[in-house]
Amino acid sequence: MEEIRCPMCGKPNPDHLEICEHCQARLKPLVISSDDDFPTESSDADAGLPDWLRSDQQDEPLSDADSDAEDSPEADSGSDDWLNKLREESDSAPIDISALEDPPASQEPEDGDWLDRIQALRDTEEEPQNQEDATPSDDSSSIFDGALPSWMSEDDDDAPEEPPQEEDSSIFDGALPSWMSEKEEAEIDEVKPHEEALPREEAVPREEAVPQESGSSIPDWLAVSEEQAEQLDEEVEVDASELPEWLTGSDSEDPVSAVEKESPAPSRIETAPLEKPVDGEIPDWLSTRAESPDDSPPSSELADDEIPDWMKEPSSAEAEPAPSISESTPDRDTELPDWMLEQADDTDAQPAAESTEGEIPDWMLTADDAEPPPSSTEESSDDGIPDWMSGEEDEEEAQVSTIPADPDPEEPDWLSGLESEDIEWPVPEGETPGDDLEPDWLESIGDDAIPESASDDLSPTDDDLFKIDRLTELLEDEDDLQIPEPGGDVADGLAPADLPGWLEAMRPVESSADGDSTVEQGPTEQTGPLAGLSGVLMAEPEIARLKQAPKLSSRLQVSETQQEHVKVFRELLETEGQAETQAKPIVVSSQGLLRWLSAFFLIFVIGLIIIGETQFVPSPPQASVPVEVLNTSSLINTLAPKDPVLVSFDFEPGTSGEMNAAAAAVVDHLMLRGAYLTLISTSPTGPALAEYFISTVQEDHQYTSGNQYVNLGYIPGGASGLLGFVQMPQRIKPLSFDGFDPWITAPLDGIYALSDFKMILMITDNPDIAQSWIEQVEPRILDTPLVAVVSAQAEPILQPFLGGEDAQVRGMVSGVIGGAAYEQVTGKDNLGRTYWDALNFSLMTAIAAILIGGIANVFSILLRGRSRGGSR
Amino acid sequence: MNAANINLADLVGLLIGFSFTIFILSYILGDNFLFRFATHIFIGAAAGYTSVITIYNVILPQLIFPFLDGGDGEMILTISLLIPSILLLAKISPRLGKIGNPAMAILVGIGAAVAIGGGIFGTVFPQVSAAVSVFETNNFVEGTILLIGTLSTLLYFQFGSQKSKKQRPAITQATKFIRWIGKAFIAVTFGALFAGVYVAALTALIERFSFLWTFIKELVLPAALG
Repeated sequence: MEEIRCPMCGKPNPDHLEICEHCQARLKPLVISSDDDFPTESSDADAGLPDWLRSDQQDEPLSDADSDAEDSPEADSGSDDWLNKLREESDSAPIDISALEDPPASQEPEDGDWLDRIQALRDTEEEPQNQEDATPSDDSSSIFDGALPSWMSEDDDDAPEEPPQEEDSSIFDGALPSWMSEKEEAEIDEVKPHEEALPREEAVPREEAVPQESGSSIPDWLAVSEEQAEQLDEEVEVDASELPEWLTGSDSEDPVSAVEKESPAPSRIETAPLEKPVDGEIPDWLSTRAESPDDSPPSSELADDEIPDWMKEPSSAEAEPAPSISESTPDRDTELPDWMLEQADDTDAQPAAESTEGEIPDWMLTADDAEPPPSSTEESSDDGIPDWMSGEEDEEEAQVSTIPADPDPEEPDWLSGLESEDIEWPVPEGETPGDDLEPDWLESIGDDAIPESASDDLSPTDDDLFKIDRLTELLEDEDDLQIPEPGGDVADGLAPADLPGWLEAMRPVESSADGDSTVEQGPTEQTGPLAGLSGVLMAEPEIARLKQAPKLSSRLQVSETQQEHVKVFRELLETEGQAETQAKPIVVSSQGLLRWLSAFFLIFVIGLIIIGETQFVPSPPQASVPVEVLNTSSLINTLAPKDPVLVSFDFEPGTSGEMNAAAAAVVDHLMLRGAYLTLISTSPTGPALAEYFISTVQEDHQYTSGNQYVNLGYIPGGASGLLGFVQMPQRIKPLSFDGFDPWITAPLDGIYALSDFKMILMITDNPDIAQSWIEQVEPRILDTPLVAVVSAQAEPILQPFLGGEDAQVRGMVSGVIGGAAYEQVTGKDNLGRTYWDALNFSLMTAIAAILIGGIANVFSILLRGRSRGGSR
Repeated sequence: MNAANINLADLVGLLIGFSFTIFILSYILGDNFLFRFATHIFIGAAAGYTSVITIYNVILPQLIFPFLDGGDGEMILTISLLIPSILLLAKISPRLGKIGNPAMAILVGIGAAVAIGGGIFGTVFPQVSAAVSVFETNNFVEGTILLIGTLSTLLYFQFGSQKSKKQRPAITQATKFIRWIGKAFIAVTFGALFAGVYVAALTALIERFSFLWTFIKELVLPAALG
């Protein structure tokens, strides 16, 4: 025993149950259709159908029932499901459509495209048809190649070998909507006797088969078109040469094809009377419609403005071409397709078109109704069109004679195109003939079938629009729904009411109502699954949406003075950022050569003087000796033998040559005076240089450490150490440079402070060190003179400390020049005189180099200026 | 310098001095290995010599020997000096460098105080007095030049400007002129300093050439000539 698992609770249930034992949920889905009504494939096909087709499908049985009750069975079957009729006709009369393209036979009806299924069926039918080469169906198939859509031709080309029922199911089960298939089955029973009566294999002339099939399956609209074509043939000689090939070819090659027999147009042409359009310039079908008011329902008496637009369209379309065709028959003869001419010829030859009506599907009949050539008979109207349509047609036919008809939007493309291209139909303003490629019945159902007036007045839903019974009801109730016209009221004696002023003022304003309605609807969703819906709650609060920050004014209240300052500051910043345009320095390409030349000349001059040991340059004259040199000499001359003199050696080894030359004469003078020397230094290299100086430069005096001189060594701490030495000399320098106690030696005998020294001689090349001595020592040595022997580079800085009675530095000897001058004062040559010539010649060489370089620069500038002037 | 009296140490010293002088003079050909080698030797020798001098001339006589051989007072004083000295050694390590900050602060503070005191009382006041005393000596021209040079030089380093309403702060033409005079005095001063530096350099070059010639004349030529 099989079990069915409940989709709701998931528990197993017996197979035969329809409701779950546990949760009472339905186990099997509700299926409306049975096997007879809805094949299983149709349900699959429904999935791909649009909603309007589904709704129409569901309502179709009801409409059939209603129509059956009101109309004849033939008319009902022929009008409701024209597609089924078309298929049945095709089944009954095999048509060879060899000229059509062969779609792949592998196309299955499961693909959801019912048109493709029809195409596939046509392909299957082509094989047996091709075997019968002599049959006129080949030619007839060419008729529909270019004119009829493929689905139309396929319907006509049902293969005769296959049973009609099987073909129907194979074609429409998967492709056609279920409501179509339902209709199809209902009509099959009606058509079968005719089909069985006709031998399928034979290419029976259409005229022979038509009488047998007429009346039951030929739609009215197609019958009308046949009548119209017959009229045209009889009244006017159609110029077949101007017709399209797809029409002419069929006509010329095989006028008696099976297709023509089964095609609705010739049959309708036969049945259509030819005299009526000529007499009253109204097509026969219109006249017949007008003459047969019995067929129309009472609702047909509705006024034209009372009928919804969607109901007007077919009627207007039917009425429109009637006069124009009759009037423009010569033109139309030239434009008619061949197949229509052929049909007309056939109908002339064999006026048995009525028999073909039974084979013409309803949709073609309805399409024919929509065609300009109007002709209708009682049979056609009764057979092919339901009552609601026939009634509508009758109404409109009655109006045709009075009002110009609009182009029918529901007419087939091949007809509408023919009319629109070659025949100038009177087209009312605001309406354009439809020329879409898709079948008209799709257009009419999908687009035009939704009447605005109906929706406005009766407010039917989309589903209701496609319910036949609903439409019938609407037509029946149209009498009740008639909107009285103001003019009519006046005519009835009812004067229009005039609202009093106060009531007019209280009347609500439409605009405000509209505005309220729009406000209530709210914004419309733009994206997401709810797109298009209005009044939907917002997914996020409006405050969470990004908004542009409000623009705030950033202007400041700035006074003119502040603006001036800002301007100055801005200019300052701009000037800081801009590099000053300086003249490009003269790039001397031979800079290395100049360096070599300068070095060569200096070395040559100095070497020459040193090697030659020349003394060309005389010593500075006595009169030209600087005052500070003379003061130094005078101070030294005041010293007595064994007077303690503090001598500081604060220079570096690099300047020892100059300092030795400058200090040699001064120290020599001190030694000559027999002074005891105490050597001290604030530089670590000073004590060694002092020892070298005493032992080398002044080796002639035979001064020994601890006896005539004492080297206290290095005083750390710079100015601080020097200040400490000034305040506590014995504490700061307890040991000499040689490691013994200097304070017990002769040079430091009786010395407890710096002021105890008779002279302080400062030998330094560093002006800072000299300044430290001046700042830290000089104020604390009382009357002890401070004399300086400095380098030539420190002289300009120490010069301010000289001079005057309160000068901090009593005497000073600077460089080789000062040493040479001091030697001149003492009258004893020393290193100063040795270097004197070399120094003077080197200085002259340097001066000469500077002068030569300056002159060269001037000339180069002048030459450059001339070259620029010349170039300009 | 005489080849007959010279000992080996002096001879080696003279050879080293001669060689390193040539190495330094080779810089005229550009930066080269000999120049760099001599420079490094001089720097190393100066550093080593400074270290030795510091140890033997500063640390031992002023810190160690008083602590070892001094009395109680000297020992206490030495210890009070030794502690900040040891803390200064912590400056070697970046991690422990903060320990030596107090001792460093004492040194910097004392040095600044000494420099400021010496600058005020040893330079500013005496220089102002000397500038004024120039006119007391009836040397009006020299005093005027000195006064103009001093004021113009000081004004040259004045970058401020006078405020004015509704006008851009600008330097007056008189100020610009005085500043130009000060610039001239500064230029003369720098020229004198450059001349002194040049003379000092030339003297050093002459001394080196004299040394080389003496070395050659006294040592090389006699040895070469036999």
